[in-house]
Amino acid sequence: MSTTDRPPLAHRAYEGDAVVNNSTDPVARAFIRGDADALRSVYERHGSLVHTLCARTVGGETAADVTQEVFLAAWKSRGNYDPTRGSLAGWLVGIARFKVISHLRKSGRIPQPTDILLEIAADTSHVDLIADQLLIRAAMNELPMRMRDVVTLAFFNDLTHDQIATKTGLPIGTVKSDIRRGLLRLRAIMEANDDGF
Amino acid sequence: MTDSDERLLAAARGISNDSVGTPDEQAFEHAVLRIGNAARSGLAHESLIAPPKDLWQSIALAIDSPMHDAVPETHSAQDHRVRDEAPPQSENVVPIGQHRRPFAKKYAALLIAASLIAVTAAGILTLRRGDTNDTVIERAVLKPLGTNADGEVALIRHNGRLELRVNAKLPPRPGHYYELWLANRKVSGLVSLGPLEPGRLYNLPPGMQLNRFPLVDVSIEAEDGNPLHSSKSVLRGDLGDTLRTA
Repeated sequence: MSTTDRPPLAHRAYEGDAVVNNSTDPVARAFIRGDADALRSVYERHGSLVHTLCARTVGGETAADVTQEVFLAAWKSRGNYDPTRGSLAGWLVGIARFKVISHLRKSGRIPQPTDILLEIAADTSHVDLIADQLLIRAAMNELPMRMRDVVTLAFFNDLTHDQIATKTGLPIGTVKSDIRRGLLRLRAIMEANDDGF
Repeated sequence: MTDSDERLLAAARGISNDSVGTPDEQAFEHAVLRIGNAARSGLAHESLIAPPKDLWQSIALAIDSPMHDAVPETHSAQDHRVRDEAPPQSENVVPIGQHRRPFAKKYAALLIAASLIAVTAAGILTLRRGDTNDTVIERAVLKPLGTNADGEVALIRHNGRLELRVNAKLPPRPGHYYELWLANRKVSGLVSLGPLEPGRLYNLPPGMQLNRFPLVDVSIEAEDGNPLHSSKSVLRGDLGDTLRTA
């Protein structure tokens, strides 16, 4: 997803809480400053998220090696993380996606991108899908409860807006608003993933 | 695009029709499709997979290395350095990732590595246990760090000298060899005791303050001529306070 021609999410004038802004997260701030204790907090918070992506893609004992590479790379490039652009989880998953694809290429499980045709042929969609799944899962947990319920009913239970309104007792306008704002939050996290590191 | 996607997009557009067709809205629609696709795949409900219990220790060891801050450093022939600590005169201590073995020793290590590969090619590497008349001062379990390995280390007094003996089961890794290190509590400094060899007793450097380096670390190293710690530890144990009186 390209982010060109668009201002950073935090600068957009759309509903007040419709963007993800992690700049007030003390762990994120400490991480950027280079506080090693903050790195441990980040690992405890997101280690399973990163490791799940690695385990579901490269698998086996290699997953632990790649997980370690992700956190070492994150630490080394921590200055590149911009909390106004998305969540730390999304940024870490972006790094993990890069590392996983790199490992799969080195091991011959997907082609090396030696030219444009091979780049197209190199199917990384399964990695992208798993990354999206994990990010959405993490993002859903950060939504306010009502918004999370509405988005869950819309996306995961596949209910119509009227059905959601009936089931929750919310006005139809609130249902639509919650879906929109929830989607914006989810999108912000996914864009941080796309940006990588 | 599914009916669900259409409904969700309709909901989104219902809030602000002004943005329909703009690059921002197109990106938003793309995000809706991605989210819908991921949500319908069902895996988002599955449990997360926790990393191996000791993986953090391995990361912390590597993170504490100045190598990861890309700080170049000039080394003397002896490499007597410990970050944030006064350099002891009698200890070959360097921060992890900045250790340099002497030239001749490096090639000896490759020869040893070649012999190790021959051993490990048969399956499992097992280092022999020591003689029964050695005085064992302390033992420690070597715990795996994200790998299928285990072992133990013993600090023994042999003919009046302190030595380490390692018994370990390590998976064969063609093109790699294992190396034994001592590390301080902050894992900010390491002493290389050399490549792990079957049956070898590791003499501790004279005058070494073992209480400052109680952690026993085994790393896996590629046969690439790079003398730095690979930052990939596979086993680690703690000889503990006993070393203070050893």
